[in-house]
Amino acid sequence: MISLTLQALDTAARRVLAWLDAAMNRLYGWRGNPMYQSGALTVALLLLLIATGVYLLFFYRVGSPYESVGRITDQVWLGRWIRGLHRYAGDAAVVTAALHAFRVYAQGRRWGPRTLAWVSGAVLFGLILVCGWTGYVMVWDTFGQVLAVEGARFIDLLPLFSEPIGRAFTGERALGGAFFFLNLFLHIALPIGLGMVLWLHVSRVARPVLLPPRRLMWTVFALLTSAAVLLPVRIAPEATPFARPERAPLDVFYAFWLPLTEGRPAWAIWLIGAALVLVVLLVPVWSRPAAVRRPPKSMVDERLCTGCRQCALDCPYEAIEMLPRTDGRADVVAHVTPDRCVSCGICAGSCAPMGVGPPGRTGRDQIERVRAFVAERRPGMGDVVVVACTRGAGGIGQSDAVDGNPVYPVQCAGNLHTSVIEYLVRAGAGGVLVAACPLRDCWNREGARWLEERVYHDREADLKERVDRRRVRIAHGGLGERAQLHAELRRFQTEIRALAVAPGEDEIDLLLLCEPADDADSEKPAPGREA
Amino acid sequence: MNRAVRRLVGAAVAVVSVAALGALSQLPYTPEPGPEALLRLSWRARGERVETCRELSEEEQRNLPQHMRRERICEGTTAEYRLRVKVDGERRVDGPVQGSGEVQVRPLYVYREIAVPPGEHRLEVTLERLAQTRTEAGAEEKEEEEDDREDRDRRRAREAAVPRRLTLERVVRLGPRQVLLVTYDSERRELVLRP
Repeated sequence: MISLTLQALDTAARRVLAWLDAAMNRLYGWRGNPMYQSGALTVALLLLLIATGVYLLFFYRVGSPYESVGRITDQVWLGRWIRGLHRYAGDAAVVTAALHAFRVYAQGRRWGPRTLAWVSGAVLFGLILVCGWTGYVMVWDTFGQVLAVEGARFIDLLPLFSEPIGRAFTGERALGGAFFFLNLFLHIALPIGLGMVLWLHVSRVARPVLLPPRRLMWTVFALLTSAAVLLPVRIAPEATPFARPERAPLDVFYAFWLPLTEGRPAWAIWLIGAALVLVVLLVPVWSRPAAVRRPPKSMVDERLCTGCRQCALDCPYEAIEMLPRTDGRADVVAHVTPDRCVSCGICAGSCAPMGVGPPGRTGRDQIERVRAFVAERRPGMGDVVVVACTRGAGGIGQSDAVDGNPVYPVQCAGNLHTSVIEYLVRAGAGGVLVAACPLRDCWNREGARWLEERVYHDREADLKERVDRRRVRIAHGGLGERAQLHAELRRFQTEIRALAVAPGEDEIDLLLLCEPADDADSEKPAPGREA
Repeated sequence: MNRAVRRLVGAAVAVVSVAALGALSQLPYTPEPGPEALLRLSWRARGERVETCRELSEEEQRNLPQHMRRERICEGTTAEYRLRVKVDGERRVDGPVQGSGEVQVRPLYVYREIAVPPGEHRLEVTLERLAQTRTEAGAEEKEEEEDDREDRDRRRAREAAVPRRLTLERVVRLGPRQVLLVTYDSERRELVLRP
């Protein structure tokens, strides 16, 4: 029952994400799709928050917080819009961080070696919310007061302080500068903590993308600046302990919980809050697939490894390192760290001698598979074989054929070995269309990018010169972009039909080109070494 | 949808999203709506300390490090009080107030909020120390006989403690959503109203 519910949740999340991605791609193209850049946008917005925050800090006074923020707001030319920009950037950061978490959840990138990224991401999100909380208290208007009082109510339930901190806001005595100094300290210290957790968050990925494309980033900044100018942030009436605030403009992004918690017992809020936090933190535990369904980690066949380092370079998760050989041969050998390997299989596509990859998905396994595929489907000169990613690419990878053309499904276009494309062309297929995910939307981060480079830019393991490039096409499309990929397929098919007929080869033995260095007689690769 | 239309729609979506962000950032909101005023009772006061003292035997003293040896040891807690609040003759609060902390040796903290309709109200607040037990009384009698430094400290603490009975009876007028604070003034040693 639970398993079915989780599956339904996964499917629903994936559908919503596919729809959103497709809509945004239509409007902004994949390069400008903010959904693909949600994580990087969050970092950019945090940097904007720091920049605007430094300016505001020059004018903020802990001795008279409300008056100083009032003075900033009265600076019509600069202070008002910088304060607005600070506020809106903070709000947008919550939105982009939430979208990023949703995306990662929907794509199933949330367990195994990705656990650290998930948990640190959840901590980052919490820190952003707490940082915003302290920011609102700094203003000390009615909204800040409501947040402070509500926060004190929760904190006082814990046996942390000798004196209930809620008493500070009852009006028994004036709230001193020490409170605002402490609050300001937290507001500055938390972003430093954010930086450290962010480092942890991306520590397990190679080449983390921390900033979005400049055009998108500046467009977002410009939009937020316009909002700050056109919808200036107001300042609510000053906080006073001797009146229940009539008006406390609510920032939904930071205080969405306030209408739900007000007037309810603090212990109940703690219980519910703790349960929710646990559910989120334990996502990598409760949502991981059963052991039998988990894909096997990559392995290295040391006899085939030439020590070229390409797999270590291409691995998006830094799961491969080069170690000195122990078999007497010179140089180094690839070594997979299972704790870091997510079984994306990108190393399989990067290895010219086909000596690395998850069992069943190495280059050699792919050649065996494509051989069987050609024998069964016999693609002819009029056919385009559509090599499609099963996770994205408009869902084409789930089909057997598209517009009468045979579909050859792969788990990720990035682990497709270029020899498979060569084999298909040499076997007589009119053309090969690789339907990959958009470059910024690869489930394995860099698969689509490496595929492009291997086919068009001579990256190892490159598509050989002898393959007619006119018969090969890479098309990108997200899960919700089947129609666009269909259109691309039709265009490609028309081009293929205009080409001269190239007869297929009967004997294609790609394996002869890359036999084991010291064991040319062996028919099958020996089991690889797994760390 | 041609490219120009797509760009236009894209721009519109971006503008609407940012406008929505701006609107949701400052949503009109009234916390706990309603005209009710609030009577807030909040104070910190040192309660009387209730101690049980006994003489240490010679053997017990020998077992203590030399610098910790004394003839008599006293253990105790903060005395228990009872808080009663009546608004227009109706009892709104009636319960014990104990010293805070795990073993109740820390000061008394009172923090209660009572919602009342705006208008004129007769307010009666009483904080009263609950009756002593026989042991406590015995211990106190004994304290009077001693006159060392510890006893002087004890006497000073007793003098600084909240009186055994505090009362406040007043007719108050409260506006809509006004908060009236009832607190303890440790210098005047009485309950006062603020503002």
